[in-house]
Amino acid sequence: MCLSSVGKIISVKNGRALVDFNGVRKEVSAALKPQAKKGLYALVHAGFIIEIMAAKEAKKTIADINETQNF
Amino acid sequence: MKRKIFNSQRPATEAAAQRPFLSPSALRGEGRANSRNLPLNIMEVCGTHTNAIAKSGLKTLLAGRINFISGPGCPVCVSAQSDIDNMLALALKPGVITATFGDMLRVPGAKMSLKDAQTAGADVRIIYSPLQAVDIAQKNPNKKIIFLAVGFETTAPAAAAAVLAARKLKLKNFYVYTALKRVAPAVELILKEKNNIDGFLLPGNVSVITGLKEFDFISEKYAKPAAAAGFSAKEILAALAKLGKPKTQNAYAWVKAGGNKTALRLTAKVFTPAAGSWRGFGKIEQSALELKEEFAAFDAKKVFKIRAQKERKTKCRCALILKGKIPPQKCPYFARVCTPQKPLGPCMVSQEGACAAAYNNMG
Amino acid sequence: MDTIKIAHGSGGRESAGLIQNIILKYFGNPLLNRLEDAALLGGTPKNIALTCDGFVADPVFFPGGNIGDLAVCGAVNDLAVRGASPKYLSVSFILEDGLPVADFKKILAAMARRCKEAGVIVACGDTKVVQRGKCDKIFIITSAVGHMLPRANIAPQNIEAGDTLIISGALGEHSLAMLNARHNLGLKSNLKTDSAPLNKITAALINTLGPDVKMMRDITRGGLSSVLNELTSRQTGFEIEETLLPVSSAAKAASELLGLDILDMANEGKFVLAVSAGKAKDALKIIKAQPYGKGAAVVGQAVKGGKVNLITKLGVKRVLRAPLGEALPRIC
Repeated sequence: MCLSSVGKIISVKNGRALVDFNGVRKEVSAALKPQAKKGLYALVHAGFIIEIMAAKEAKKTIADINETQNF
Repeated sequence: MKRKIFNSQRPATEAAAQRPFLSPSALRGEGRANSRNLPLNIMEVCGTHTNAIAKSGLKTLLAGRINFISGPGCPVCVSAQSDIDNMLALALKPGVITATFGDMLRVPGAKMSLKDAQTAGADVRIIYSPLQAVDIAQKNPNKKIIFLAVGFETTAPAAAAAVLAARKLKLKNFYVYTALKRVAPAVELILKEKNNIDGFLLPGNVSVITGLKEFDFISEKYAKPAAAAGFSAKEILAALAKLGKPKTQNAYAWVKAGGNKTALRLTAKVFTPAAGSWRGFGKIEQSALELKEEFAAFDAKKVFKIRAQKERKTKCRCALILKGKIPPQKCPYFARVCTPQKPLGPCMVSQEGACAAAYNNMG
Repeated sequence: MDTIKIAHGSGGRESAGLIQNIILKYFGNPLLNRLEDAALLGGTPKNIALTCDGFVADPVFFPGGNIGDLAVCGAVNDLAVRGASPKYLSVSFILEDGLPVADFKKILAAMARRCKEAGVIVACGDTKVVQRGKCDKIFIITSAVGHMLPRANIAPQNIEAGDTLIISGALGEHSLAMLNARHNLGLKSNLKTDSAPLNKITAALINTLGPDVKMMRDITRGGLSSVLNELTSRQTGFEIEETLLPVSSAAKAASELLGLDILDMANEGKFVLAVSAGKAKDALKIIKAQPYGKGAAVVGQAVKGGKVNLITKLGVKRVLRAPLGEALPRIC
């Protein structure tokens, strides 16, 4: 019930964040996660960042996901 | 079968074949409240899990070991018929732009779906974020924009943010019809009744918002194991491996203790829990999120004077399926009368519905 | 004159003006310039192939192209995958009163470019103009005529268990680019339409491999899952491997964001080929040598039994069904 995507935060300004999802960029809201900042990774649902993660940890999570997921 | 031409690299298959993530103890059923032989009955609460388990092939891979039971975590599937009929009535009003997530478009109401309404001339627009609905309201001051808020705790904060944005912009033409729900009360209802569920896969993103405490009751009150899971096969397997002793655990890297406090705060600012009407479950206390009184001007139910309706009886057996009492295949209409082309109810319409998943992966 | 008006479709001086001053500037060729009621094509009646396609695009202009690209490539490709060499197009325009002439010219320019690329000419055509609101800016109906290539033997019945399935390139790009534009989803990426004429590739395949090219079909509406389900028979089905499907990382990311399945997405410049297993390597080489085939890959094979199966990344076989209705972004 909760489709989500993981991306890298490129920039945050005035509560709006630009997130890069493997080459596709989208502007989303950081209203639910004011701690969002450039360089962190974001979990995005319905156009909102709902959680953030440090890059090192996030890369491991992404690798885990990709091990059994194609698309 | 000649394989030479294929350059297929399948390290994942070899890894999965060794099944490192399914702990022997979980498979032997140790620590379960009632000891029985395999297969274990695991309820995946979340519709996105239902979809992922089917599409990845996990369901087939674990057949005989794990019997996956789809739970009520498909917000489209559990939408009450009255809610759907109300949404349609609003969509057909002149001067209304209905902003909805794509998931709701084909759900059948009494006479038609939102898609049919669109064909009949209603202005129905698909949005990806609730903020787009606010944007549409700003750009169309002469129209009434009604955002259909359907979802669980993951989506509620986004809807709350949209209402607050609309208030900040002093919009007078933005309304929300809320069919937002809380997952835990429905899960508790299932546990209260007689069931043969051995463990639960918890919705990952709901847990991100609420924190795991929301689901502690599963192990503490009902002595069943539960684990929050991500949505890839590996993450789901990791969660399954944790199901042994009756504990509520986390296997989803994104869940933080305490959940997302900002999201919870915004939700509580805009919405208040109230009795909810669930397809198949009837009324569940504290299970729906309604707009607070101070946001009455944005409440489509109040502004358009929606009257409480009696639930229309339909043939649909979604009720039993959502509770995990019968699998889709045991519904007399499944695949015979009720198909994705001609669905009798939302379990067959929604991409995540148990019936749709079963039908689409049928041999 | 900045906009198309009803008068432009009325057959009088304005219509003549539209044809002479605008349409012929883009499509002009000795055959069309005669402006006869019917164009004499010549050729023997036995090996003619004919196809027809209607084009409605929302939006009309999208990343990488416009409806004009689709109108030419779509018809050309229908002939190409059938084993014909496309030669002539007939083009019918239904224009909405108020369509900016500048937009019409851009569309004509795209069509002219694609005709040149594909080696076809517009032999005849027609233009009508309807009142505002009666059509969505522009509808294009294209019919195309070609000559069957002498070595072509293309039919679904030719497919046998063991035949190799090849796709000519990365999937889903057109659909994702269109959905993003149509629903204002705000995705910024290099995703654009893959609209392209495929006749050079298909001709190379047939001329070199002849009847070993069993069947071809372009992967348009409904995606690869629809095509494979269309091509099954009681005896023959297909098995494809998820890990072999060519997909760009941008397309993967976009489809994940929107909750869509790449296998159900439309393309406008890709086709699937069933070829004798022994010639699969050669076929792949031929396709990859062409600019629009660089991303080609073997994805599976034909099998006994009338089902379409996908082998997931986990190595598990599951049924692959054609999608229902139009693809819509979802949040659940």
